[in-house]
Amino acid sequence: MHWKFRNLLDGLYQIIDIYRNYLVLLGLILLSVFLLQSNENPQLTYIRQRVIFIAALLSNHTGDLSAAIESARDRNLLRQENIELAKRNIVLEDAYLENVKLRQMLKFSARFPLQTIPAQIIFKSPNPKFSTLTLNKGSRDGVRKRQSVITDKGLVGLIVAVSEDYSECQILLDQTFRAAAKIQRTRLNGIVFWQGQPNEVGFYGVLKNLDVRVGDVILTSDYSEFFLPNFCIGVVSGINNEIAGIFKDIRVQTAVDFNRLEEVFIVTDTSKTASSRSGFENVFLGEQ
Amino acid sequence: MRKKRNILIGSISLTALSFYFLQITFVNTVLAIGQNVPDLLLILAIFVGFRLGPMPGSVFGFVAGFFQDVLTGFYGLQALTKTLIGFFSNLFINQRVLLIEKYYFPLIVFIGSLLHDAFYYWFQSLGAKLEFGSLFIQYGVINSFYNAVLAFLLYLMTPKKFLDFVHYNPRHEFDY
Repeated sequence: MHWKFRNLLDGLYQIIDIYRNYLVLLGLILLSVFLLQSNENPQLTYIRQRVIFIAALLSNHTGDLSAAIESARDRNLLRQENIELAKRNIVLEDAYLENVKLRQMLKFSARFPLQTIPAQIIFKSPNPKFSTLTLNKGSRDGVRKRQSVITDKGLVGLIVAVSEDYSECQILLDQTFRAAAKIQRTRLNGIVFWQGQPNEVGFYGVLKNLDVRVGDVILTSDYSEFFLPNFCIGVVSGINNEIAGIFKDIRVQTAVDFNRLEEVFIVTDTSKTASSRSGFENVFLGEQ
Repeated sequence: MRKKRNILIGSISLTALSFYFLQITFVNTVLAIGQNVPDLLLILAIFVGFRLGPMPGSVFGFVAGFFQDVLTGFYGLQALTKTLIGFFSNLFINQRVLLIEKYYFPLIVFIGSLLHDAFYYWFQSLGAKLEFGSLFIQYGVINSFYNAVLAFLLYLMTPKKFLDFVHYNPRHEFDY
């Protein structure tokens, strides 16, 4: 250890010896500068100003550099934070929309004179020949076959199969679906069936000489075997008299948007007297 | 050897001291041509650096400059310029130029003085309403020429014995 230290010192002495001229010069220059600094005159003031300016410039640039490094770091952090916030925002937006829907449903449920069970759609059948929705409520919850399924907007369909915990709803947009219906304004009766278009059904059975207008509301009829009367089905969106036969070709835009359907109500009360009460249909129509 | 070195240092110090007093008494008044005054200590600093090496040259330059600064009250400026000139004047010497040293030395003094005055007047012009160019031409160039002439005369007046004593050593070591 001792000899290592000696070697180090010897090396240091040698370096000093080699560069002594320059070291002395450096020392003398520093001393001169120190002496210069002790003066108070315009030249030195000017030099001090320049030195301060250069130092400020350098520190400014190094500040910029460090700021750039920091801003790059911040940018990454902000990106991550942004992703997190976007995720949270999606969740919150979902919750908000759900909240709005639930509020609407709650309002509807409170206004609706019949007993209903809220249910969530857990599966939509992709089979166009038999369009059904699988609901998360079954016989345990009081769901029975042939009960109507509605939303606050109107009729969705009919329960066609029930298990203990789940049930299956045949919707309006199904090839085999038929429902007796009437025009609210004129009380003309007919049959609603699907014609293969999304969110659109046909209304069949109105003679060509009878009064039907675009915008007329179609409701379930009192003659329906399965449905309670006065559930809103939709609004007349098109009328065509230029077809063969004695009946008009009437197209009806469904009140329910089946593409966005997520929650429904199963009407467990099948008392026709209650549903036929005056003004019942306005429960649907008031919201439209 | 130590004795010789002490004699060398003593003789140079004595010369410097006499030059210093000569400068402030005789040179600044009698030898002044208008505002142009030769700088004896600058000539001596170049000589010391030229003959004895960069370190003695810079140390001598610093000390001589400092004493000149005392007169002006502007500490450090002459010290700094003479330090640099004393150091770098040694770059211009080698064994061959010693043969023509009589003419070569004034030339080095002229160049050294030019550099010295360039730095000096540049510094003076900083922050003041003085034009470096006119200052340098008006004083720097003429002073440098004056210094070169005086250096030539001094070199001729210097005893050969002294010149031999203060001989050039390319290794820049005191081998006295």
